[in-house]
Amino acid sequence: MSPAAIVTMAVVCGLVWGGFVAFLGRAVSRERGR
Amino acid sequence: MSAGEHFSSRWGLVLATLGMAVGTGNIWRFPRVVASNDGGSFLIAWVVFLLIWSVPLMMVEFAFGKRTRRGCIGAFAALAGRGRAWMGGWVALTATCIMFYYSVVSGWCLRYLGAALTGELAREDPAAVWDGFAGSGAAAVTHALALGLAFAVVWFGVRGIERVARVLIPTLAVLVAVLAVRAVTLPGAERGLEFMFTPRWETLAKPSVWLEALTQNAWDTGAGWGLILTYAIYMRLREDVPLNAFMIGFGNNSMSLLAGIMVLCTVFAIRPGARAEIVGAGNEGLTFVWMPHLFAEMPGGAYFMVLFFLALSFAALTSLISMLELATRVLIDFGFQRRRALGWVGAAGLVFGLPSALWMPVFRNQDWVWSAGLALSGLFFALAARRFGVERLRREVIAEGADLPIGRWWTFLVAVVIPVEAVALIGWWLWASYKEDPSGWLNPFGGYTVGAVLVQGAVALAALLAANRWLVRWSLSSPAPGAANGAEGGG
Repeated sequence: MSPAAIVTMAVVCGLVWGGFVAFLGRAVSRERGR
Repeated sequence: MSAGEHFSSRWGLVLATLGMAVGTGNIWRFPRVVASNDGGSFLIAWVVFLLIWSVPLMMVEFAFGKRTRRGCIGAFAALAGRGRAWMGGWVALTATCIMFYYSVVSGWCLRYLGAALTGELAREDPAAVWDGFAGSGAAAVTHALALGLAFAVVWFGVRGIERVARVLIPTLAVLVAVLAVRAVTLPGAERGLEFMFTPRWETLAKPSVWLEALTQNAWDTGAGWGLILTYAIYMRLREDVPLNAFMIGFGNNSMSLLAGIMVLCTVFAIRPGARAEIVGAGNEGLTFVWMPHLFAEMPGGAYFMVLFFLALSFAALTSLISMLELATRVLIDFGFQRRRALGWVGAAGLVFGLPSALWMPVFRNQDWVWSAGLALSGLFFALAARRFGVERLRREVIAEGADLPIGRWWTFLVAVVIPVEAVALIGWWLWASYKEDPSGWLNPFGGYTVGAVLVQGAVALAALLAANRWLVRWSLSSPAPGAANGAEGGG
């Protein structure tokens, strides 16, 4: 794979999957705090 | 609303809403659109529109449902003013007309799940199986079966929807993840990843790529359909809006990414030379003809084919359930008991879905017409929010009990950016249709023409405008238990 493809994959997957995991983690911690 | 009509927890609401959002569009449309729009460049635009279309609109829908505790028509009448009930009627009508043919699609998925389980797809030519099935009496039977399954879930109300979502959505996520892992471990799969993620910077200058990215976000996240509004009616009073919207938007697009990796890696690993042909085969051709071909050539493919159609069936059914609930909820607002309302919706779905099940040209026409109607639905949500006051909506509903602070950027996105996006989308669609067929684009009998959309849309809008007074009277006739004070907006 070209470096540009690797960087784009890291950015897109990192943003989308990382974002989902981060929001999910925040929701879990909020629910535990209730 | 009875005392039991609410989601038992945040997770019930989030899973049900994810079930609504994750549908066949994620699994069969997204990979095809990525491949047709130069991969990596499209993905960049797609992430941008997740943030400036889908998530802000999801928050609008959550806010409408939470504030008014009414279905689409009642929510628009209560928040945007009684003169705007017809806008909610358009949103409800569009989603319901999509439901009529979406149950046909769900039936196809069930049929192929059965064919994968019995080994029929491995033994016979998938193209011949599809040609013998699509538009046949058997498709009408599977349409009825899919509708019956969704009907049985909605029969038990919100608790039924929640219980099913708690099982199907985590299972769906695992299935898609397993299939994606299998795909990326195939020899030659890296060519699929390379194609999918390589950015072509010159492509980013093409407006069509950005508009395709907006279209994909508008259609596969479910933002602006009225479905999130319907589920938000049943959210707990102190439930958070922004964090749920972000979680659902990002969760939906996470599934799309996995599906894209699964399909494109499989195609590039097994038939790299046929990429253009496979991608050009359309949603049904890719899913029901090419995917069985590809699985048949993959080691252990018979098992993975079952998992693929199981995932597709789960995705389709959970979306169909939400569409059934949307129409049912509108009738409940009109004063019907839930099960009587559902009976009418189910009967209408069965009857009005039949032409799409039996005749593929009707199916394609309806898909064309009502998919186009969704751009108007998104615009109507933004206009209704403006009418109520976008900043007021943010302060009074969205910021209340929020686990994630939302600033004035959201107000700007909903008041200015989303209407501009919707108008650009509609304008581009008109222009592209004209350029493709300058002499026939306005033909009302053309099947896939602007004329067909305009005629059917105009008839629907004229009927809704004429019936506005009755829509207001029926949808606001009963008090909405649990609605926040001051739900009424402009006059």
